Amino acid sequence: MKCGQAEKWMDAALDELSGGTDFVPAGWTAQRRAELEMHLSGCAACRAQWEVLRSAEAVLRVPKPVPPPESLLADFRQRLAAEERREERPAQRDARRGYGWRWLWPLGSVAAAGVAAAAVFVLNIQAPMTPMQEIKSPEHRDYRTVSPAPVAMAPRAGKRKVAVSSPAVSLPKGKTTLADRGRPTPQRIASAPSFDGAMRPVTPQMPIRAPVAERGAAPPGDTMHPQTEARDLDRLAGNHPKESLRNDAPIAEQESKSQLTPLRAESQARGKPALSKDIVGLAEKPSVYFRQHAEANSLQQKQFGSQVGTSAQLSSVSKQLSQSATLNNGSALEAQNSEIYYAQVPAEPTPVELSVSAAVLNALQRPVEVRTQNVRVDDLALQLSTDADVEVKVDPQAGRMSVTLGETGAPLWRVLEDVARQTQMEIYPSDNTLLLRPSKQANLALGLAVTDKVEPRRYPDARSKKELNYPSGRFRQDAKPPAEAPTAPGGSPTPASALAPAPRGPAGGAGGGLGGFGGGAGGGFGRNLRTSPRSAPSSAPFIGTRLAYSSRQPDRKYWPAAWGNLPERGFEIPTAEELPPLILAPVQVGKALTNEVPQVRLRRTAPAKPAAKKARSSR
Amino acid sequence: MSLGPRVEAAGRAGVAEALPATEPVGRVDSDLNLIRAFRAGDEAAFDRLFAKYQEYVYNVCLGVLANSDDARDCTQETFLRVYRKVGEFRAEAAFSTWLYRVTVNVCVGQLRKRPRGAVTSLEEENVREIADDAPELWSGPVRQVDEQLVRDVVAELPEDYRVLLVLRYFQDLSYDEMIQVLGYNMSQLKVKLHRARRAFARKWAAREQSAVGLG
Repeated sequence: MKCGQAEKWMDAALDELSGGTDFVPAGWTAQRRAELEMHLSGCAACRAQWEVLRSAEAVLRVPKPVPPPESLLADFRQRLAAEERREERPAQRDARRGYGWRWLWPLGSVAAAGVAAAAVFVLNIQAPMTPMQEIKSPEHRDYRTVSPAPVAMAPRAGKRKVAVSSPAVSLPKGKTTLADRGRPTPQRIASAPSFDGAMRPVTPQMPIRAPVAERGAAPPGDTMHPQTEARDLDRLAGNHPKESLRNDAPIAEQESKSQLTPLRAESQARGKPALSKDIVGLAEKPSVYFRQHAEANSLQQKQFGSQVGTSAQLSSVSKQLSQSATLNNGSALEAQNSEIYYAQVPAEPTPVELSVSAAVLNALQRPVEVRTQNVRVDDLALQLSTDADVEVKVDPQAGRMSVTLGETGAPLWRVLEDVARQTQMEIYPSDNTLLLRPSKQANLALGLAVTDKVEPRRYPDARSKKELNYPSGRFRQDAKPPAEAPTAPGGSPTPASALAPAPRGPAGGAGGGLGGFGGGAGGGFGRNLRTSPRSAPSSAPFIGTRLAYSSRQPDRKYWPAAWGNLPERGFEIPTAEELPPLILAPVQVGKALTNEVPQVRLRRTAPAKPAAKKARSSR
Repeated sequence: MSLGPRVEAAGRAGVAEALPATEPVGRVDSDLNLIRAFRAGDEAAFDRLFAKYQEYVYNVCLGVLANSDDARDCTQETFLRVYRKVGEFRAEAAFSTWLYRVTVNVCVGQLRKRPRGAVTSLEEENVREIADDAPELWSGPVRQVDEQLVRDVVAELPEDYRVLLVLRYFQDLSYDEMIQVLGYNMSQLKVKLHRARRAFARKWAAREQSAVGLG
């Protein structure tokens, strides 16, 4: 008998024990018992285990039934009566009071809340602004200067609507009203120009704000420091916000530190939640705060331009600051208006230069040999980098996901798109690099979409197979060989090859990667189109394949706005005449941009310094 | 004792429809009769049910919770639930099985409410002596084991193991009864009981070793 069998028999012996202190299993035969005894006598480990189990079995049978307390029934009756009284009490109370109008209580609380809100509103208007508001909440100055400027009065994707009411409260003389502070009034809203949503075309002539010097003096009651005002406005609309922040950092630190202490004290006194880390960090060390965030979002800024990224970040932080001031003031209306304000301040519609190099565009159209099943994305990226001669980077968090690709000779953009589809990522250009990053939805899912197993694409892909066999008519027409097209492989590039420039053959492939139409062995052009790439002769490896593959248009879902209209153009390198319109991309403004920019997720790793020190010390 | 109309309606509704028309014989017959009488308004019938099963319920609670006060409260809570939800008893199994299930649910709920690490006192009168005249291999030496100590060790186990050991060893339920109470199948029950036994054995051995070391 082996130990495993003995262990099973031990369980059986324990199961069939008849109880008490009789440890002899009732249903056991003498033969089984003898075998188990023999094994236990020869195996010390099993015997020790048996001893423990037998001891536990005996111990478990020690506790005997304990008689319950004698007053258990009486106590139960008392408890039952108490429960009855508790349930009957509300009904009796209602009966005594002669009404059963409990459903009216919520209305009463709503009415009380309304009265309280009105009182807070009046107090809010009458109360002077706190120093923190004066410095950190720029609402009363930008509405004064941004004319007419209620840009975000346009519907904002079903979010809260602007509801500026004019409460019938009499203000004391000398106090500023909301309209005096430049907040959106119905008249201003009516006179505001129309705005077509979060996206707007670039109009460099649109004035964002007048220079500070042209706006004249501040109205009475506005005690904003001129330097601070100029700096804040420059932050919101300046050309180099990061630099300006660093240049005037000492001023900001000196001012904000002096305002943080009363803000903290007041917040604690009111029992409000503590200030967020961003607010405290910005107030204490603005330069450090923005430097840290600039470093954390450097990747983001590379994609969208430093101005856009930083202004969006600044908008987000400024909103928090405004909310903190609102927290002091205690007015919900203030918070609402603050949010509206920051949505109304548009970012500078500076043209965003697409950082897509010609090398990347060329590489995107190079055919690559990829036939993998359940390969890690980072490994695949390395292979693609080698094949397409362009660096392909993958977000570290998504690199461990696996994908399945069954295509051979597809252009790189299509392979990347398939990878992005399977891993819920997007493809970003970054100078001479292609970057696969989790999409916005994946980021919003807090990494769950990254770590969850994604169902791999079926192999072979039915859709691509169908496209291969029945390519779309447009490309069949476009791909007709011109009369002067070379027929020998390795000829000069044809106009059709210019459509997908510089195809590179596979490693060791014949023809140097440049082939002409109809160059295949014995195959006509149409036949090439209908030929599966795996069955194509090696002398003309990718011509028909590339054309067939390029019959599929890139899906904009995986090519973010940083690509401009290059995906629609098939990643064709723009000519010199086309460059000016190409480099102008739509710019999102205000809060919508903040939502759109994917956040860079930083991974916490153990610091390596102690280990290095330890190694040094051991030497 | 007069009860509120809502409690009576909530607790007893549907019992007459749920109970079988023909009364079986034996214990179930007696339990069904008592339930039927209680449904008809006989409060004494519930008292008899209480008196009949209070020891069962109390000992299950005591075994799982390892605390007499908690066991007392949970016993009351169990019978309170039975009082109010007796209409949900469909007589598909024995009343005792249903009662065990309610008890286990109440105990598990109590376990999840209270913090871990309840310390109980050791009392001399709980010390029992294990003695047997079985052969050496199948029996252990004569020892004195404290009941409360055993309950404490059981109380240190996870709640599912605890319930299993209490029902199996403290209440001497058969496998079939445990299946009905706990809702496991036979394989699951054997596997869980196997693990529960070993978990208890490990903890018991560790406690004995520590006691020897201290002694």
